[in-house]
Amino acid sequence: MKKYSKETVVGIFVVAGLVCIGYMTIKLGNVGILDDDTYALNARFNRVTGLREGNPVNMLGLEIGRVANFKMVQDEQAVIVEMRINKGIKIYDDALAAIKIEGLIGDRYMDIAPGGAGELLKPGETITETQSPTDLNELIGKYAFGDVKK
Amino acid sequence: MIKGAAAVIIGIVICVATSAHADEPLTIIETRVDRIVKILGDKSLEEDAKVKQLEKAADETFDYIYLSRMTLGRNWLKLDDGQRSEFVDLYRLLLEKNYMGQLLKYTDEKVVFAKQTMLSEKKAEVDSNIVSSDKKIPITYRLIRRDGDWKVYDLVIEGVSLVSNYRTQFNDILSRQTPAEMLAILRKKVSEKSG
Repeated sequence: MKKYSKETVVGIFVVAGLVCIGYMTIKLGNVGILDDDTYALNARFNRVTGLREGNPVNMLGLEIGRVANFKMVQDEQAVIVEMRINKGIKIYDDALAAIKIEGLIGDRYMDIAPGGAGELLKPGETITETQSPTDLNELIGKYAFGDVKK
Repeated sequence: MIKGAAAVIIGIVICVATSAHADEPLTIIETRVDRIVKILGDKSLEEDAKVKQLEKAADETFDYIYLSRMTLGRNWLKLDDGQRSEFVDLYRLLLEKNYMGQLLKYTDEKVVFAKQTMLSEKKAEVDSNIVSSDKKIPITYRLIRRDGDWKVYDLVIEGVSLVSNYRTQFNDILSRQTPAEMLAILRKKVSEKSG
């Protein structure tokens, strides 16, 4: 009886430990299991310098999703960024998407000004009003040093 | 007779192809910008006459209603019909006053158009560069098709969008003030620039 009780207690602790590890993996690692509580939206940019998969998507300063994937459309010299946006967040076709930097040297993130006077974007649709990151070096070089081709 | 019929068919095909091409955003914006450049380069025109012609050309090029709606975004819904109409007029005047001075400094820059990209059935982007002796400035025109015509609703200059720039500013104003107060600010700003 005592031996059975000891094994039972150990077993309960092992199961509890595995449940805790699983919970932390899901919550901290942003791993979805059965019910994905996000939907896909795309944004079209001319360049996405510095943006990486997993970078946050923010609206009004709050994180509302993550950058999921990139697809280059070489014919159009454009990049389609796929985002996973939290369900319940509404984004309209007059939304503005811009790639910004946190602080002076922080990570890149996608900032979305949501719009609201246009049509609601459905899952899989694309934000077309975008602003690609400015290449500061190129800009400074152009105005400080002029153009080589004259 | 066969030769005649062939000539007619070829003529029809050329007309259809030309008219189809003429409807494309790239062709339309190129024509309109060329006209603006011609007005700017016309040394026989006095400044007042030049400004009037430029304003007329801008009216034909820009969809000020859609530009205004895109600039305000969600805040557009806060304005009633009368306020929206006034905002469109004041915003147009503000843009003309802000940028007419720069336009009139035009010397001999060339506008070189590159490619067009269809963003959807009704929206397109046309890339171009303003080329001067020492600089090349990229400008992207964003156009919308309404009532069969393509008109500009945003300009992206050196990667910075006109709509995005002004939306931030109007969002800030309308987060603290009413639409009526915002219009009063705009009226004052436009009359200051005229004075």
